[in-house]
Parts: sequence; structure tokens; C-alpha cells
Amino acid sequence: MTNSEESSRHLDLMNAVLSLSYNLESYPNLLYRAGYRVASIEPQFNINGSANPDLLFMSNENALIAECKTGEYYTGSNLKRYGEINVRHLVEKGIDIPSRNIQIDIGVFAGENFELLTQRLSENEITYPQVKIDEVIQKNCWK
Amino acid sequence: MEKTIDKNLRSMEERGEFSDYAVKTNIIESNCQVDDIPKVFSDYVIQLRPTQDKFLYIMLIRPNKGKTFVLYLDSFFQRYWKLYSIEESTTINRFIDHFTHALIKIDSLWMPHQMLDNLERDYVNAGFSIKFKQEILQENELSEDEVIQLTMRLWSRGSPARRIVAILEENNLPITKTSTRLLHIIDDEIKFLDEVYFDGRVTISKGTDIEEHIHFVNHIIDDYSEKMKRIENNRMYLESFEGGLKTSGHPFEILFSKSFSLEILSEKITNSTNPFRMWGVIHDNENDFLRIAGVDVHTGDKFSMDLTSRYMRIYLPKNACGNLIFRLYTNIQQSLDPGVKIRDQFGGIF
Repeated sequence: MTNSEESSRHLDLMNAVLSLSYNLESYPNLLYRAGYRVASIEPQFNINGSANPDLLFMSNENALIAECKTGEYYTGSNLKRYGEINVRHLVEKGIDIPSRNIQIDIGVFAGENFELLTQRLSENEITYPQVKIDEVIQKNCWK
Repeated sequence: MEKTIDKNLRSMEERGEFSDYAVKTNIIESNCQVDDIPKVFSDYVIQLRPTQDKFLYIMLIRPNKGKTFVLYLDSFFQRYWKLYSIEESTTINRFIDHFTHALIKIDSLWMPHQMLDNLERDYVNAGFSIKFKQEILQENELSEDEVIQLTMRLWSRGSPARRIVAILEENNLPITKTSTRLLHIIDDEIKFLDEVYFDGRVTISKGTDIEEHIHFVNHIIDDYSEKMKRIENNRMYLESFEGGLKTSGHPFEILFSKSFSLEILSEKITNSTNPFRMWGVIHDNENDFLRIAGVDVHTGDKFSMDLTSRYMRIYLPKNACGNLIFRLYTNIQQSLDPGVKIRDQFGGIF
């Protein structure tokens, strides 16, 4: 797979996850119904090194950091640092938070080869919840 | 104009028929300044004369064939011009058709039937026109219980109109109103009897007060403008900030009442012809799901579309003209699927 193809697949998956927070009838709106809205795309944090998740959703009580994984799963230190992101980091980046008591959750989203991702995360002792996005759902997301 | 209204009233009473010379107002959706109107286009030469009112212009129109005629252009609402005239309706309709089709950045209104229905709430309904013509599918592509064409014109006050609409609804037949006739009565006096068409044309059939007609036209503009704001607030774009990228806006969903052939639908919607006037390229085609990158032929604005046999999603970029959504939805309603629905993030739009 070329870099361009891989980049396109990653963008597709990001869009598939992002779309879950929109109130569409023609696409699942699970995150929207749970009260989540997109707070930032590709936010960049500095926590003893860079932590660059793909998406950040916010509800009235929770923040959800979403990492989208496609192709060769790289599950290095960048991903590990997500667990250290706290409210102060969000405020410093100008991200609106509803209260200082929000809970920050992390989810790793993937499409194909989900088992390999699980294995890689396990090898790196990363225990974030993992979500498989069905290929049909991915195709029907908005761009 | 008041004189013409009186004359028409007398004419109708004497001859019992509608006068071709009724006072008419055409609401124009404009994305440009009055100065941007070309002096020559299609078969017309236009001369604009300012008046003491800085928003009001006299428009002298000289066609290649025929006599010069006059319209009065009120540009007080920058986005929605009002063109008043007392000329023969065929002359005016022909000119307005060219004015709104041939010129970029100038369009007519495209009111779906729900907007005409809503106008009826505040006035006495005195009839309507219903028009549906299947323009996308061929006769052999339709099932036996589907309508190819339905045209109906009813002039009546009160219950007959409601009963006919109820019968059509019960039998799953198109109720796509393309005009509605409205009476405005105060203290037993008819202030006006106006007919409003889906494309923003408003004709006076009867009345005693031109001011009331102008208020009514402004009321239509307010309604349209409110919907336009909602639609244009949904235009989508990304903005960078210290914390990454922020998204604005939402897609529109057009939900068909039944399944259509994707091939026929996509060909008609992207071939830049009437009635949709959209051009597009299919850049992704998988599992009966098309992604289209398109251009609104009317304004040159870009749009993106996802298309399946049951629904379409439209994405308007920043600064795109929202009239595309009105035009697309109204034309689908009038020429493909009378039961079509449109919604955004917050629910049904019309």
C-alpha cells in the first residue's frame, strides 16, 4: 500500500468516527446521542514529548480522545502518553471544557485487522478500550 | 400601481376573468450588487435609472424584438430584490426567466410546497395550483401506481381546497403546491387577493391597498431569509486554533420516500442541465454509494455530495450560496419524488 493510499484510509476512518457525533439519519449517531460534539481535530499536546490524538470529543461530563488506527499499527510512546492528558492540558490549548471535573476517556478505533491491533496494544501494555468500525459503516460516512 | 389594481378589479368584475396586466412582484435572490447587472444579456438591453429613493431603480428593458418595458427594482433588502411591474405577464415571465437563468449570482426563489402551506396560516386560502411532473425517470421505469404528471388548479375558499388535499394525501398522490392564492381581509374589506408562486412571483388579483401587498411580499422574504440563514449556518469548514482544528457546520440529508436507480439519478443530477443545474464528477463509486465533487452551475460554488438510491447528503463549503439547497430540494419534490424530506442536524428544515 502506498503512503497516499494509507493516508486516504486513515482519513476515511477518521471521518467514520467523526461522523458518529453528527445527528444524521443516514448514519449512526451514537456519539451525538451520548452528548458528544467534536471539540478538536488533531489536537497537539506536549506531555514529556508529543501526544497527538486524531480527535477529541466533548460532552457535558466527559472528554473522549479518539485514536484511529489503520495499516501497520504503530503503538508507540505517543499513544501511551494519551493517558497523561488532563484538564489543564485542554485548557492550555484553548479547548472549551464544560467543567473542571470532566472525566477524560480514551478509545482506539480501527477497521480491518482488528486482532493485530489488539495484539500490538497488548504487547505495549496499552489497555485503552478498542472499537472496531465496520467496513460498511466506514464507506457510508460523510467526508 | 394602486390605479392599476383598481383597473384590474374593475376589469375582473366586468369580464369575470383574470387580467394579464395585474400588478406583479418578483422576488429575486441576489448575490451581487445592482451595479453588477450587465447592461446587455440574452435578448435584452437594460438601462437602470436611479430615483430619489437610493434603493429604488427604474429598469428600462429593451428586448431585441418588441417594445421597451419598465420594471421597478427595489434593492432595500440586499439579498432579496423586489421587481415590481404592471406589464403583460408573458413579457415579464420571459424576462424574469432569462434574468434568473442566464445571469450568474442572480436566481429566483425556490419555495418547496411546505413554505407555501405555511403562508396559508396567516391568510384566507382561496385556491392553489399543484404540479408534479416526473422528469428524471421514464414511463417504463415507473410502477403502475406512480404518477407521471399531475397538474391541478383550484380556485375556492375554504373547505373544498382542504378536502381535495386530503383526498390526494389519502391516495398517496402528489400534493406539491406550486402556487397558493391568499386573501387578506381586515374589517370585511379585501386588502388583497394575491397568488404566490414557488419561484417568488406574487401577482395581485384584487385589492385596495398596495402597502398591504408590499408588507406581504416582505413577509415572504422574511420567511425565506430565515430558512436561508439556517441553511447557510450549516456550511462546513475547518478553522485552525491553538488546540488543533475546529469544524463548523453540518451536512444536509435529503431522504427519498423510495429507492431510485443510482445510475439514472446520478446522471441527471450531475449533467448541469435544468432543473437541477448542478455539474459533478463521481470520484468514488463502491457498493452503490457514490461520492460526487460538484459545482453549482448557477453560482460557480462548489459542493460535495454522497448519493445512494435512498438518500443524498450535501456538504456546502464556506461562502457557498444556500439557494442550491432550496433549488435542489424543490426540484426533487416537483420532478422526482413528491414525498422527499430534507433535514439538517436539528431536524426537518421545511
